[in-house]
Amino acid sequence: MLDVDKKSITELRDPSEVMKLSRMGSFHQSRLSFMRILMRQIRDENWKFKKEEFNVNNKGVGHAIYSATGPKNTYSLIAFAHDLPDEKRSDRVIADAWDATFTLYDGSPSEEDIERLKKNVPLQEVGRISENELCLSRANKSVRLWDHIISSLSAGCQPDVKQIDSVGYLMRTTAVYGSGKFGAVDREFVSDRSEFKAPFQYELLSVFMIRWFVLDLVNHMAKVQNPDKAVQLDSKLSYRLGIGNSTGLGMAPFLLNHPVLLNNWILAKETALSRVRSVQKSSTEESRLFLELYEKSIILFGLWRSDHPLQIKKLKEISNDLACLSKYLEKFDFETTYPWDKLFNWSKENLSMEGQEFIISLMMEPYGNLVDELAFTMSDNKQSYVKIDGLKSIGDIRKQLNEVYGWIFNIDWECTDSNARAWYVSQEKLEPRLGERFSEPIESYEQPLSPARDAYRLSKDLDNFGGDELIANFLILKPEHRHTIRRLQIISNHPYSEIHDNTIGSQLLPIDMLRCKLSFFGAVHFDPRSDRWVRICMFKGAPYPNQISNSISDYWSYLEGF
Amino acid sequence: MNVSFNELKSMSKGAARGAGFDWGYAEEISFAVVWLAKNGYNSATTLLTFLDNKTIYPPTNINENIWTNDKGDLDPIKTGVALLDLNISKTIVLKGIFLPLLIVPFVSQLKNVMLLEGNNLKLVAENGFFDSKVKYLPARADVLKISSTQGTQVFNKIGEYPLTKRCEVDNDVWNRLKEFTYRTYAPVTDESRMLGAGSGLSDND
Repeated sequence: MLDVDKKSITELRDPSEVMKLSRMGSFHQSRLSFMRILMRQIRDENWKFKKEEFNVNNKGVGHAIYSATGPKNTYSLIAFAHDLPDEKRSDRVIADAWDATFTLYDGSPSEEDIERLKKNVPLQEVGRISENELCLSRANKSVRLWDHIISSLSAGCQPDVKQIDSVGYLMRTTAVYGSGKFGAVDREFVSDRSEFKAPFQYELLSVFMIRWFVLDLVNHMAKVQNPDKAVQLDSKLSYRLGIGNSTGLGMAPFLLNHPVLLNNWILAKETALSRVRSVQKSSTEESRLFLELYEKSIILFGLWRSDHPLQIKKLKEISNDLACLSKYLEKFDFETTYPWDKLFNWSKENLSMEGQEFIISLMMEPYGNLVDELAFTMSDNKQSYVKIDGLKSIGDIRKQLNEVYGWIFNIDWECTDSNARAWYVSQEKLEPRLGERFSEPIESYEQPLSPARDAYRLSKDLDNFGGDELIANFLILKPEHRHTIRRLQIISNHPYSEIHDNTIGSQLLPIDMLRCKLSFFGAVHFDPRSDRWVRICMFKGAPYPNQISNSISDYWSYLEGF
Repeated sequence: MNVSFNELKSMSKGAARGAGFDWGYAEEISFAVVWLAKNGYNSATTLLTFLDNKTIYPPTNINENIWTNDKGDLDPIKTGVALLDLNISKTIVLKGIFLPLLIVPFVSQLKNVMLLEGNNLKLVAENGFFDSKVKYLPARADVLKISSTQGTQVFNKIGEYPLTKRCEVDNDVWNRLKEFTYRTYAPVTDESRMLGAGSGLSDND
């Protein structure tokens, strides 16, 4: 039995502490990351995976079908392999050709389906999928690693582990589009299936199966090159390969556009932390597991490379943190009362944010029975229309605004630095961009992604009205505040739904928003390529779909199989 | 073409913004368009008619029982939104309303079940507002009375029972909506090309 002190379970970190971008940009994967949730589900439900067809020719062109069958439904990954000239290889979502393209089909596709998808999936923008498809994605090779592995395998030897670790993946996806994009099924029509209760499960299922296809493809191409001599990639090495992803500004506004979802993610994680901190006594087994995963994490951090000064600085900090932590843990008494709370409090005083957030994720690991059920509180499947309560008085709204947005008054909104940036969508790329408000002609195209500034403007205008007036009347006269009033009413009921930072200030680092989201996906190896886009790795360390059994470890993300 | 509701939602919001609506109203418009589409209405075409019309106005007297605007017909979105903001349960008479269909999604969200009656609308409570026979509503109504009705539910509450999972939109209508949305996109400059997405670095490795 777990020894949890019920009294202290309610102690959650304050949103003013958690929702700062510098902290969100230091989050790490955890038991509540969506990849981890997916892997637990397919293990516990004994999903069956099967290669249905592998029809790729000697030039690497063709298609393959892989199926995944759970207790109720079957899903099929349909992969199209292309022969892409090097000069056309770009990770940008606005590219028009890729090394491979994919869709996840709801069920088992007919030949007509394959023909229809063959004409659409490989095309950007003009290609359409249907309500029978859950998502669409595209991927490019890491040419460097691909060539190295093909040349090694075809010569009958295994590739160099250092080269594998220096890249980490054979292909990286550009984006995985779900939620009705390009004509796919709307999430609301599948979100009630038990396998999709946690967020982004079908997108990640498709990535998990893409990784399998990529492994088959590299083995196939090595064999094509030298049928007599070629060997298959050693399974221990194949675990080290994940699927890469390049994530740019297109994803950054997501956290602002889905406040309830953001709240549910963070609330689940904070609740998990609070439960673990409330454990009065740690068992020997729990402490041992924690220390074992800590040691593995040190190895993982050692593999984490980045050329970007921002991340190099963070990696240095975490290296110092690890030195400090190792010393502390050597003498740490795990038999003390509330050991995790003690460790948490010590980390706040002694570690960088990277280190603090790492320890938080790590201390949840031994406590699946306290943490894992929270996975099913993380969705916002209703995403229903939020009506404005227009019967609230201006006085009520003013009070509410001061309560949830009090922090915005610490920002000097008259200063140009506070308004330096503007979010817009460019005509050329049709993707979100961040521009310089005072030197580019973009202000009239600004997207509503500056809730702090907008709340400030609302507060100024409210000052011109009497406290007893209804907000409905105010909104007839001042419709420009309508989106902010709605947001205020949403935020008031969801403590972790708003980023407590200025999202248009000169100091903004969009990669912090990306890292927060990607850590919840379960990504590792954050490698910022600028302050606006980042490369990551997914499912590194995981078994392949055809190796799933009820004995696979919960801790694959710590590279158990290495 | 056949589109998902999420595509219709994004397009409606973008087109409304491109037509000059504030973001808050653009959100309301996209909600209304999707709600109607889920009820089987060709709401993308209705949206286009709505966005093309410049001579409609918000009600000026929402604290009274008869809503009107001396300048011309009432804007159905701004009127519907005001009815919902005030959570109206009493009888309200709208004088001169453009595209009355567009207020229905908002009325449907009110706590009380409401009845809509107009002198040129053949929508009566006993048939149920979303009787499948009622496919087309007039482009305007001289008078529309909205009142609370007791007893049977007259509205099909779409949140629970969508009548359809997809939306068929005329290609020309979709392209016109795209044109509206296009107005929200910033023209490209050399600076934005270099800095906007943090490019200038090779994607390849």
